[in-house]
Parts: sequence; structure tokens; C-alpha cells
Amino acid sequence: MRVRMSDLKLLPLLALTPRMIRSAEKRSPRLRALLQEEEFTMEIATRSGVGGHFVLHNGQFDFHWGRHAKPDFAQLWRSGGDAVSTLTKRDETAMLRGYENGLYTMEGRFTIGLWFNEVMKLAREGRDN
Amino acid sequence: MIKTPVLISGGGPVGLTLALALSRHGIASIVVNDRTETTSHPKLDVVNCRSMEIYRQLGLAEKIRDAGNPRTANQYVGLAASASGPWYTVLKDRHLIYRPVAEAEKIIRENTDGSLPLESMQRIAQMHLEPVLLAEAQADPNIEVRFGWFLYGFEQDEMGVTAQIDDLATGRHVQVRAEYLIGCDGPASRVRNFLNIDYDGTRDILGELFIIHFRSDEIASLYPNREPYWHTWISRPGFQALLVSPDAGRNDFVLHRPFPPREGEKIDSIIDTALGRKLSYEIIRSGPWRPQFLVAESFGRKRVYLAGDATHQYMPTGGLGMNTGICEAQNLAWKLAAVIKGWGGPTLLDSYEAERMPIARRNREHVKKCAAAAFEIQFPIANAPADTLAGTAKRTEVGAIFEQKISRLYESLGIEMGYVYEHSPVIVSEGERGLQAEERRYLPTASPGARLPSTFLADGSALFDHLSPVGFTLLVCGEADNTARFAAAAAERRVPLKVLPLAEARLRTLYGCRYLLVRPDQHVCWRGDTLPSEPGQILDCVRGVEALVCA
Repeated sequence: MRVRMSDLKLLPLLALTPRMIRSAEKRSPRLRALLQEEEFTMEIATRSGVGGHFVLHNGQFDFHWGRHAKPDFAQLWRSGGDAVSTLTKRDETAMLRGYENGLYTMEGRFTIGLWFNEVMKLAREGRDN
Repeated sequence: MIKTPVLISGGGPVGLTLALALSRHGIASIVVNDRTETTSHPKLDVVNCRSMEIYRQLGLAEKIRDAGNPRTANQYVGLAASASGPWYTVLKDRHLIYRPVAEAEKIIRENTDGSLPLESMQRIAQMHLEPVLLAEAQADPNIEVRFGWFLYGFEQDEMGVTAQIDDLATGRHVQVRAEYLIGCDGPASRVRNFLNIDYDGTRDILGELFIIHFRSDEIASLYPNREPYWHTWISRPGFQALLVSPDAGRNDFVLHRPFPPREGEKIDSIIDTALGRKLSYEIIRSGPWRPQFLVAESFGRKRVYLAGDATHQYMPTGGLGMNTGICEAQNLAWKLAAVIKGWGGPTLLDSYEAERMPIARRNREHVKKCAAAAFEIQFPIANAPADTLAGTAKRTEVGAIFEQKISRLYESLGIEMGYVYEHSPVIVSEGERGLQAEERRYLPTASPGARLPSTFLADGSALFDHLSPVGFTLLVCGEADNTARFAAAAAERRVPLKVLPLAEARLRTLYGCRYLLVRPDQHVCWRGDTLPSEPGQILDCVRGVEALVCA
């Protein structure tokens, strides 16, 4: 599938996510506890192949460029633009609406998706305060 | 000023169950509830196996079954593209809980290895459960029910709690002096807020879901024998929902959606899409709600305790919200009774949080996994091209994934009955740790802290029915040494004790020891192959007087 310019919008968002979490970690005990949970690999990418994967390992949450051979949980987006506009919405319901509307598909363990939702919410709350 | 041993704020299932359990111990209570009547919304749709065991102990199991799904009706769970089909699969016989209660009871009676509950689950809506509990409470001379009354505030001191309750209709204030106050007042618990206790999780991680309660006489025609399945999971590309029939004998249905209607989308069109055809129905109510995965940071302070949704808020996946609360009420009731009657020691009530908070957290993790499973079952459908779902092979594959994942919500007897009070100060531990059962499978164990595995005696009676509901029971498997010293030590401490000789040799094998001391909540608190030389030490530990250094 051809890579569109809008797909590339996803990359900076993903790359900045660990920094945002690290910053919030200092002020949120809950976030620190979440980072100590079971290790996993989570991929966020577009159907055109743009994206990367996050790894939670030894309490560290890092981003790696490129697709993972066997992620524990994966979101595959129709386009980078859809991913960015949905993932950055404050309304948690946007993710479920987007899923039913076919903006993305999922595979693997959705508990990791719940983990990511909670971590991002805590990270955003810190930034908003 | 009115005086009462226990004031309960909240007249939902947990508050009423607590009042009824206290009454069985001879303890009076006042229940205040700001609603003027029981709920008119279906709300929960299951009383699980463990809760039904507790209701059996309270003498209410049959009344609850009479008010719920008929004993001969199914408790099936299916996955379909719509309620009109095509069906991917239906869970029917693979586990006890899907079977009609009448069939499940036969299977339970034939079981001898202790691996099954004494009671199967009951499919019932909360709006039909609450009237049973309320009628029982209103008829009980130990319970004063005040619906339409509101807990305005309270203060506690060393000897008790002084609370102000207000009549919502007249504005009349009444002061109540109680030895204990229990907040069973739901997720927005005023009692918890007064105590300044927060939840330990993060709110709103899933966003807003949507629920529609409607009635229809025609939906039954979509199911074999005009008997709607308990849960119909509906999934096809572009539409996901859960259609619940809380009772196959009634025409109430509940439709759950993962988000509120889109702009311009009508409730009728959502129902029609779920049903797969146009049928007649009456919409009773609809609205958004927010699922949570929260547990309170503390279960009470001094003379004020919390139970039910005041201690935990779960997404209903797994049916553990009220059912966890029923176990909390049972745990708290005998401890309150023991302390009020004078034979319970100072650490007995502390053990309520020590025992129940780890279980509330464990159940939360289970509920999260169940919620995840409810989403994961949609993945193979959403990811599949629509035309492949028309094929039998693809539907069979989707059905198999559904069975493997969604069964976690329904078949987890390990969660329901396998919890062990491992770190309790009132359990004489054998020093073994990591006893918590698997989530799904219940592995019967009579280790201290565990629920006693249920079994039937040679005369056909249930062993649980012989246990003392108001005191400890010393089970004696096989030939006994002289139990008189044990009984004398209990009498000296005014601890109610029943000695129950069990002649059947298989029970010694099932329970792993000759002697077991079982609490009023059917949990084992000590066991051994010989009677202790100092029975008073054991009794002082389990009644919360003195911690015992365990072997």
C-alpha cells in the first residue's frame, strides 16, 4: 500500500509518547505502578506500514521505529491522519467509535490497550494541570 | 435519639443482605435509603454461585430463584451477527452455569470431589432481586427499613457513631446513635466521602458506554422454544452490542453499546440493527454510563465500614460488582455480631479489610481481563472481509475464538469460590502462600483461609446446611479424640461452637485433615490432624483477640 504524507503525521506523536509518560511518571504514583506491570510489546501502525512499536521492559516504556514481528497487541490504522486525530482526542469514547467505524483494527491482548488508555490519561492529566 | 447496634446507609442488595445477615446473628439494624422504592432498572443480571450459597445460608435461595429466571429455562450465551442470526456459536453444555438450574442441581448433587458450588448461579435482574430482599427485611423484627431517608452526616467516637438522618419527604431530622455505621451506599458513597477515602484506580479509561432498557413480547420468537438466551453478543463489521435477557420468563431486555448514539442516530435504529429485523418493542429508558475499575484505598475507619460499590466499582463483565459486595456483607456481618455480642476481639473487624481488599483487587484484575475479552471477540469479525463471515467455516472459527475468550466471563469458579484469605490476622495459617486458585478452575482446598469445599453427606443432606451460621463449627472427620476441652475453651470465651462429627472416611481425604474449624462464613480458619493442646490459643486467634504465631 502506498504511503501517504498524512501517514507520516503519526510518527512524531508515537516518538514523543515515552517522553510524555516519563515526565508524568515523576508526579503520578499510579503511573509508576503501571510501568512496573507485566512486560509487553504494542504496535501502532498504518496499513501502509508507517509506525512503530512500544516496549515495556524493566519499568521502562520505549518507542522503536518500524513494525514488530509479533506484538502482544497491535492497532492497525486506515491512515495516519485518522490515528492522530483519534489518539489525541480527550474523549475516551473516540477510540471505540473509531473502531466500530472501521478506522482501525486490533489484534492481540486488549488489556494492553486498557493499560495504554490509562497511562495516556494519567500523562495528559498531568500536562493539563 | 434512636439507638441501634448497626446503622446501614444504603438499601440496595448489599445493604439489605447485610441487615438480613446481621439479623440471623440476632443483631438489630436500621437501613436508610434515599430512594423511596427499589430500582426499576434491570441493572445486574446474575446472582453468582457463591452469592447463591450465601443466600441459601440466609434461607433465601429458593425465594430468589422463584423471582428470577425459571428453573427449567436456559442460561445460554451466544454470539451472532444479530439476534436474528446468523449464529457463530452458543455456549450451552460446556459448563454447569449455562444449564437450567434444575439440570445444574442434579449435576451438583452427583458431584463428590468438592469441585462444584452447592448452588448454581441464578439469572435474575436486580429490579426483581431487590423486592425479595426488601420484603424479607421489612418482615424481620430485627430490621427497621427507612426508604426515603438520607444519611445527612455522622461523627464517631470511641464508643459509637452519632448520625443524622433526614426524611426526604418531610425534612424531619432524626439523630441515630449506633455502635457501628456501614456505608453500602454505592459508587458515590457519602460515607466513603465523609471518611475521605478515595479509590485507588484511574477513572474513565474506557469512556462512555450506552445502555437501553426495553420490553418486547416478540423477541422471544427469535430463540428456540421462545426462550431468549441470557446473553446474546452481537458482532459484525460496523456493529457491536450485547443483548441481555435477565429473565427468560419476562419481556425485559437490555442492550449495551460501546458508545452513545452517533449524531442523528435513533435508539430505535440501534435496537432494530441488533435484532436484525423490525419487531415491536417499548423503550423504557436509555442513557450513557461510565464503566470503572476502582477499589477503595481503605474499607473503613474505626467504627465505620464500607461494603459493596462503596468499596469497589467494576465494569459488569464477569458479574462481580454486587456479587463481591454480597461476600463482603457476609464477611462483615459475623464479625460485627461477634464484637457486638462481646466474643469478638479487637482485631476481628480489622480483618475485614485485610481479607476483603485483596479479593476486591483480585476481582478487579479479573474484570479487566473479562472486559478485554469482550473486545477481543470482535477482532476476528472486524478484521474479516464481510463476505467470508457468510461461510460456515469462518463462522465456526470465529465461534471457537469466542468460546475460548468469552468463557472467562462466565465459567470462572476459581474467582467466585477459590479466593483464600491468605494474609488474615484471624486465620491460623499453615504458612503456605500462593493458595489463590486459578481464575477459571476451582480447585477444592480446605487450607485455612479458603471456603470449605461443599459436599453432600450419605443421607443426601448438604454439609453446608449442617454448619453453624452463627458461630464456629468444629468438623471431626472420622473417629474423634475427646473434643470436650475444645468445647470448654469455646464456652469459657462465650464463642458459639458446634461440634459436627462426620463418619464418612472420604471427607478426611477431601479436607486433608481430621479436624477443621469453620467460621460462620463457611471459611476454614484452622485445621489439624490432632486437636490442639491449647485450644484457647486457636480460638483467641480466630476471634481476633490475640494473633497466633503460626506453624
